[in-house]
Amino acid sequence: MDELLNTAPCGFLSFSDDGTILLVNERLAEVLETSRAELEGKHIETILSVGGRVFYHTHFFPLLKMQRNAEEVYFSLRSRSGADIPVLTNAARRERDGRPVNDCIFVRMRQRHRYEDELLRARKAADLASAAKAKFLSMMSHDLRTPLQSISGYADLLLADMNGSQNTEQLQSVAAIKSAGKEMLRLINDILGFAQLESGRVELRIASVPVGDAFARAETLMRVRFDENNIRYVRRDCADDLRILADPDRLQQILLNLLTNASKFTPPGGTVSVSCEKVGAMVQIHVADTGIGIAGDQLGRIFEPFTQVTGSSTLSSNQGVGLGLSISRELSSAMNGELSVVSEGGKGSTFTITLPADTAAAMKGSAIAELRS
Amino acid sequence: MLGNSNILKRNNVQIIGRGTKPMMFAHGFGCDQNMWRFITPAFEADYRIVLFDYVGSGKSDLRAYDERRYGTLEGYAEDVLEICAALDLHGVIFVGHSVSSIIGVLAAVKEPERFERLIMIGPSPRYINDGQYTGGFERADIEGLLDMMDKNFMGWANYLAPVVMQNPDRPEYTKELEESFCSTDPRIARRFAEATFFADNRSDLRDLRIPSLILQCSDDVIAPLSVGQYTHQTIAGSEFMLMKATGHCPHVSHPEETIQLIQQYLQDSRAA
Repeated sequence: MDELLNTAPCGFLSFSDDGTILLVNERLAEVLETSRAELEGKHIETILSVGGRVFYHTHFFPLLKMQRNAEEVYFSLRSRSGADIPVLTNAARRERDGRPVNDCIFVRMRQRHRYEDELLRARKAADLASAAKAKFLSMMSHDLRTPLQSISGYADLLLADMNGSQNTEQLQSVAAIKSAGKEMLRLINDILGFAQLESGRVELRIASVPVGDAFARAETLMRVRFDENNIRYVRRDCADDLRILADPDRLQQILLNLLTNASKFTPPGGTVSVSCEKVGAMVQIHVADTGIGIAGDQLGRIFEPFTQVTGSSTLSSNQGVGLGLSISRELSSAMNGELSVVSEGGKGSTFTITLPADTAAAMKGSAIAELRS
Repeated sequence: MLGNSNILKRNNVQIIGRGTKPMMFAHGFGCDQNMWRFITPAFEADYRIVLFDYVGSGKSDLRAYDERRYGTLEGYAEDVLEICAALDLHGVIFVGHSVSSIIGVLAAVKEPERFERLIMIGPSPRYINDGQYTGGFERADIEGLLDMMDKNFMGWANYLAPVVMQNPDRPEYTKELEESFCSTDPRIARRFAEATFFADNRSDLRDLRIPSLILQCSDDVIAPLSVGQYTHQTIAGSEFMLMKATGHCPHVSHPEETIQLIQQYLQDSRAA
């Protein structure tokens, strides 16, 4: 063996397909507390930890034989005294003296091994905590909804005032109970929705949705709110035949969330507008407002769960638990799209939902138009 | 239940060969159907060869992974049966490597009418030692393996990093995935390892009624000789062949001998 390879600051080993060690350098023998003569001719399993032997047979060797190389593979060697030695391995398969051989180099990983152990422990703890949180949120939301539905139901009965026994003040109080219950139900639904998204349990029914129809559906629900807040609502450019591939109810949820936010953060006399445009294979839906905007330092955080934009004075009435935008972004992503924002403090915000265009429907439409012409 | 085309897509089922007799090859833990590439050419002329990837391995549909279903080997056996049903297979010669031998046993016990013969390469009904039974491993050994897998998923080993490879922002990794054999989803691979190495299917062996062959490697640290003999003694009417091949993957390391023994077994059984 070349003296340079023999004394290189990494272990070197060559083995045959049946696992026999053909060649080993001085450095590796040293690490394994043995000699080259003792190692050569033995099976490679003899220098691997028990887990390492399984990994060698199930992953390492099959890959090496089929792919002819393997890089950055973590292995655990076993020294003569039985100590586990973590190493990083690169290996290549080549022909030498007319037969295939597998050459490997081993680099010890002392510090990195400890650091990775810590990272793994932290990740496992985080995974467990996240699963526990999702379970808790889901259970809590279910358990809170049941009594809330009773409160809402009885409030409805009282509001109906079948025998006319309540005075106006009492009816107003019951209406307040009903309204607070409704708001609470919305919050709980947000939490439940978020928990479902986090655990990947959301079912989507993707369909071809005309963007105009989606706007019209949202407008019906939002118009009163805009009027009450003295906000001008405008539907700007949006081609009538533009369709997207989305779950209609989930799209509605996103639109209502963005429009509600816009109405919340736009002062009276301001404007909220919607528009849409086709960009390549996608459709962009813009929801813009002339409201208080979002400061640069907050912009990156607004899609994080449980985040509320702060410092927005009286307009931020702190409604919600800060899940709406997080849910909307997750839903957009689940529908193969995305949700983004452009904003400047004091100058309003524009949220953009990007979703796949239904090009098949568009092509069919144009074919029909051609036939008619 | 999924439709037939979805099942075939879920398990990336590939059919090759010019024969009509179905021969199904099931890969073991650690790789995918690519493991059979040295074996299948020898059977293409006479058989209809069915290859597939378990969910989480190779080019299977990762979205189909269900933690509960695949938490035990029974879930994987369900996949085998669903593939058989989707292709309307009967009289199948099932060749399973390692854990797939046991998955084959579970499937054949549940729907024996689908199978004609089981060829088991390196089977082990239980890997962990238990009283008088020697599986070859202590629980701590398997935990060492799981630790090694965790580290490799973290270390971006070139064949275990599909999460990175599927990143659309890094197309060079996607290309690497296409060229990579044995790609596997790290999280699923770990759970597959747990389902495999912590399983105890000793009692299922007694229920097998299909003729079977056990191909046992010499010096196999994963499925030692004593485990192969135990499997042979427990499965009524099974045949046992000790291979010259060493290690645990003779179909990769010693394909010629593996082919020859399978052919010999099938020839003998035809003659009988």
